[in-house]
Order: sequence, then C-alpha cells, then structure tokens
Amino acid sequence: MEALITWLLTNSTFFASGLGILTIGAIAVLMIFLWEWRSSLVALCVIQLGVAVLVTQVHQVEVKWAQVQILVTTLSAAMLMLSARQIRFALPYQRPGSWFMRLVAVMLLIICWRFFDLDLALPAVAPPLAQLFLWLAVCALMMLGLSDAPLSTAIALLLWFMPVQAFIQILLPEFRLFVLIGIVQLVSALACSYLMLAARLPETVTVARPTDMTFSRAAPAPRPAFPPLPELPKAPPRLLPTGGRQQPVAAVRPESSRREPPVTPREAS
Amino acid sequence: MIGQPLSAANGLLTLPALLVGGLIGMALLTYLLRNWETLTALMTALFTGALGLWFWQLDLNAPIFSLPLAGQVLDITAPLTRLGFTFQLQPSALPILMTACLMASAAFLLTAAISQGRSFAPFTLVLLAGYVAIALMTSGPLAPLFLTPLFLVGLNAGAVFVLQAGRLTNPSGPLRMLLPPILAFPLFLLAYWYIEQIPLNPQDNSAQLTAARLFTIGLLILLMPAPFHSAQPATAYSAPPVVTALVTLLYQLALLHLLFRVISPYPFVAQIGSFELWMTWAGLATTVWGGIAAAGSSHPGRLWGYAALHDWGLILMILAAPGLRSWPLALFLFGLRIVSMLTAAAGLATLEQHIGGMSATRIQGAGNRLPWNSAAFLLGGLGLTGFPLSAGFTGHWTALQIIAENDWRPAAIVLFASVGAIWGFVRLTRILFGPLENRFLLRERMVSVALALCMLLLSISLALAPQLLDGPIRTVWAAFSG
Repeated sequence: MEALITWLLTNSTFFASGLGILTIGAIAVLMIFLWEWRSSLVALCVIQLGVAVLVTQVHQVEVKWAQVQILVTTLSAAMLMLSARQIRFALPYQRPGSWFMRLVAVMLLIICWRFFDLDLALPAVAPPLAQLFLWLAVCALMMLGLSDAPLSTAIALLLWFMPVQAFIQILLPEFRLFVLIGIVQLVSALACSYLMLAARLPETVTVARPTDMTFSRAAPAPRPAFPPLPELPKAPPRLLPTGGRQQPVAAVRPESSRREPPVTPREAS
Repeated sequence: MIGQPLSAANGLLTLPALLVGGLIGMALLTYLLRNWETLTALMTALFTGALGLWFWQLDLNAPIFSLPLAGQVLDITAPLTRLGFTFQLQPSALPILMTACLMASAAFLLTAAISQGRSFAPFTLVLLAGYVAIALMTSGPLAPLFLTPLFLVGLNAGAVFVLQAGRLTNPSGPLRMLLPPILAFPLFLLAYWYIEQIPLNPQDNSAQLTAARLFTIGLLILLMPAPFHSAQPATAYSAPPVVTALVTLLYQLALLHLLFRVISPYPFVAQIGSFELWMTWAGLATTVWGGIAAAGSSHPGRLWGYAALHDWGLILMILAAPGLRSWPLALFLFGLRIVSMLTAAAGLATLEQHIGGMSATRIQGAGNRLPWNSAAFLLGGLGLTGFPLSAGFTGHWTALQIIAENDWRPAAIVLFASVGAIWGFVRLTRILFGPLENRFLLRERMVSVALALCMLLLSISLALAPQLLDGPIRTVWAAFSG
C-alpha cells in the first residue's frame, strides 16, 4: 500500500501546477453540481491526492504525512461506500433540489468569489494554496448548507478536513497532531456511516416545522409501492347503443311456471 | 515516553490510569452484560456515584491514598505520561470530575427503570472516560486547551451512537452535534500559532488581536448559540430523553471548563477582542429564539429542547457580564440546569415509553394516567424557563437582576422570551391533562413514580431553599480559581 501511494504521489505531479490547482477546485464544484454518491467519493480521493501532492511539492512536507492522509481519506470513503451501498435506493431522495437549483447555487458561489475577491492571508502558506484551501472550505460549507443528510454531511466534512489537515501540517508540523486529526477523521466518518444506516428509511410524511432551521427537502418522499392490481375481465359487448337507456326489466316468471307444481304421491319404498 | 510503566517511578499507582482504566474496564463489562439492562444500569450508577462522592470529599493535601481490598497505595497527584500526553489531577479539574460522575450516576439510575437502549451504559462509560481524560490532561503536543476541541470531535462522534440508540428516525440531531467541534478546532490550532508568535514581537499586538478573534469565533461555534443551535432541539426531538440530557450536559460542562481554561491564562481574549460583546449578543439571540420557538412547539421533546436552549442562552449572557459575580452565578445556573434537565428527562422518558411516541395526538390526556411523570416533565421544563416555584426560578431571577444592572432592555427581552417558553408548557399541560385519547394507556409503575417523586422533591427543595447549592458552588468556584 505504501509503495502504491508513493507511486501515486510521484506520478501525479500534474496537481502541483496551476492547471492542477484549477482541476482540484473544479472537481469540488462538480461534486456539488452532480451530487451523486459514487462520483463524490471518487472525487474526494482525487482531491486528497491532489492536495497531498501539492503540499509535498510546494512546502516540502514529509511524504509520510501524505501517505497517512491519503490512507485515512480512502478508508473513510470506503466506510461511507459500504453504508451507501446498503441504502442506495434511498439516496436519490436525499438530493437537495433539482440540478438547476444546484447549478444556480454553484453559479452564485462563483460570482460571489469573483465579486468579493476573498483573500484570506493564511500564515506560512503560499498564496495559491491559501486560495485553494479557502475554496475547498467554502465548497464544504456550501455542501453542509445544502443538505443535512448523513452521506452528504460526511462528504462535506471530509472535504473540510483536507485543507485543514494540510494547513495544520504546514503550520504545526507535529507527528502526534496529524495522527490525532486522522483518528478523529476516521471516527467522524464511522459515526456518519452509522447514521446513514439509521436514516435508510425515508420519511413518508414531511412535516413543516416553522421553528426548525432545516433546509427543506425539495424531492418528494417516495410512496410505498403497492403490488399491481390484477386485470379485470373485459365487459361483454353491449347489446344496446351506448347513448340509449335500457329500461330495467322486472323479473317475470314464465306463464307455465306460475301454477303450483303438481303434487306427486311418494312412492312407497 | 512510549512504553513507560503504569506505575510512577516510586512504585505508586496513578489516579488517571486507575480512573480511565476503571471506566473503560467497566464499559467492557457492561457491554458483555448488555442484555441485563437493569443490572448494568444499577452497577454503573453505583460505580460512577461512588466515584463522584469520593471526588466530593477528596482532599488533595493528603495525596497518598490506600486502595481498599487491593492493598495498593495510590498517589492521587502523580502524573501519568503516555504518547506525549500528561494526565494529572489538578484542583481545578476536581469539580468537573465530581459533577460529571454524579450526573452520569443519576442518568444511570434513571435508566434502571426506563430503558434508553442497550448501548447506553457501555458507550456512556467510554464517553465519561474521554471527558475525564480531557479534564485530567495537563500537557500534550500543544497546551491542552488547544487540543480540547479536537477531543470533543471524537467524543461527539462517540455520542452519536448513544443518541441514535438504534432508532430508525431522522438522525439530524446527532449529526448536527458533530459539526461545531469539527468547524471550530482549526481555529484553536491557528490561535495557538499566533500565541506562539507573541513573544517574538511584544510591541506589536496584532498577533494577540488575531488570537483573541480566533478564540472568540471558535468558542462561539463550540458553545452553539443561535443560529448554530439546531443540534440541541433536534436531538431532544428524536433521541432518548435521559441520553439527550446527559450527553448535552457533559458537553456543556466540558465547554465551561474550556472557557475558563481560555479566559484564565489569556485574559487578553476578553480585554482586547470583542468577546464579551459577541457573547452577550449570542446569548441574547439564543435566549430569545429559545423562548419564541418553545412557544411554537407542540412536540414535548422539541419544547424541552428549546426551553433548554433558552436557559443556555441566559448562562452565556451571564458569562459575558463583567464583574466577579458572573462565574459563580453561571455555575449556580448550570447546577440548577442539571437538576431541571434530569427531572424533565425522567418524566419525558417514562411518558415516551408508555405512550410509544411523543406526537401531540398520542400524548393527549396521558397526564391522567401518568400524573407524577407528567408533573416531573412539566416542572423540570418550567425550571429551564425560570418559572416561580421551580428549580430554575432563583437562578433566572438573579441573572435577570445582574443583566438589568448594566442595561434593563436585554433583561426585559429575556423576560418576554421566558413568557414564550412558559406559554409552550402551559399549552402542553392542557394537552397532557385534557381528555384521554388512548383508553388502553397503562398507568405508571411504582418504580417510575418513585423516581419521578425523588426528582420532583429535589427540584422543589432547590426552588424553596436555593442556598442548598451554596456550599457546592463555593467549593467549585474555589477549585476553579485555584
């Protein structure tokens, strides 16, 4: 595993370029726009790889840190995937609104980024990296704001952990600290995986609570699927024209049967 | 330091090892015996209660203590060092340990009569061990106060399992409990870096100012005032009531300790930053929103959650108030909060167990069949709003007086918000004691009646004689201030 991660780190130097930074940012935006659990988990691993390459190349952070961090994120994503597979039928109903709404949200985010020109001076971090970290953190906060489903929250928290972990490693390069943060990340992912299973049954009734600040779920809850009804037998062809009204016919006994039946003597046995 | 033997150099056992090891060992035992819920609840109540009472009467001037039956000698103040972290019993940690153990004991005692999930006892013991470790931590890779939010992430992640308790309900509450520490811990680590920079240029106070701002934002996120409050009412809505009360109180106790640990060595946080201003506004917003939302809640769990939020907002406002009286009063309010929350939880847990849910239609008239537990819930809930003749009345009244000394307007707003929360409970009383909906509802058992009566007696006695808390609060404050 260690050799594989080292190979990945040495062969993914593309992320340590300007285009690589843009790619990482674009993947984070795509995660919000697509909101699909498989692609989001893969994207998390790719972003983690990109951030690890970037930090090791630009700030000469220890490769051991990058290896541990990639391993932690992969394990967290694997835990989430195992739970997500079990509830995959319920996941489409946990999407926050339509693709158009998410597109508008992403556009708004990009416009605000350009308009306000957010420039947070993070100490000891190269400016392009600081911008990327800020962008990833904002994307994570946006994901948290859009949905409160356990899977999306877990993905947003993992996305939040990536720049935070990298930044702290640059600022306070302490072995025990990054181990501690890695443990906390794994435990958080485990808790979210458990909550995903608890929320596998979508609510059939959505109660509007004016006192709660939850973002309402736009997608309607699924109705329980009833088995299809058996086909009724076809009606016999009408004898009268459809426009006419058939007079009710009284049941009339035939003339021959109006009289009492003849009493026949019982035969002696 | 890795691999250092458990005993200290002079051959004595250390308290941190015994305490954390004992709690973890007890957790393992209760996990194995988890099918016998009453037995495990009583065992853990006895264990944690004995620990709490021992901490209460512990004298740190006589640190050598011989363990009964074991024939070993325990050095209470001896440090334990593991993986670069040092744990040692400090005088300021003693009240935290005592309160945490006694709260856990009360909660375990309640669960002996009302099931809160089989995982409750073992998982809560592990949580308690974590909180004990945080209180005992004296040094680490960084100073303990900077690492506390990181440890709180792990503890809240563990709390998720007891809060959800295997229920297939909406997990918003436990999930939201995770968020504040995860969002806040980087700010504390960054504040540590800025504090490290202060001696490099003592003339320039920009590092101090940045650290103070980071602390303020981090503490505000951790303390979960409005609008970061939603975890508390959402948890009270869906999680088992006793678990909700204990987990919330343990977390908030750790936060009070953290706040003291920040303000005490770094007074510039309160002096040069806008900490007090932000805390006042956050507390006021929390109190007001708690009151308004409680007035609009018909679900008993949610109503209880919002009443607790209202009370928490008042504590935040008091912590922000200048003067020497603020900390003892905040501790007094927190003591009353513990009693009120556990009283309400005892009643609500029995109601939930009997009714099989907490929707408004199910609880209609339930008070006719469960009068004592309904009374416990209502009195506990009203205690959180400062209603007269409830446990919280004296604390709320004193707090309002202190706030009004500076400015009468926030006090008036808090009073109106309290009326809103009280209105919510009055409406719930009408529902609970209205016409009975479910004729087959069972009457309350004698055990739960006895527990409800005990909690009611405790609440009423504190309402009538609040000076009962004087001694413990003085001890706690003396230990806090060294």
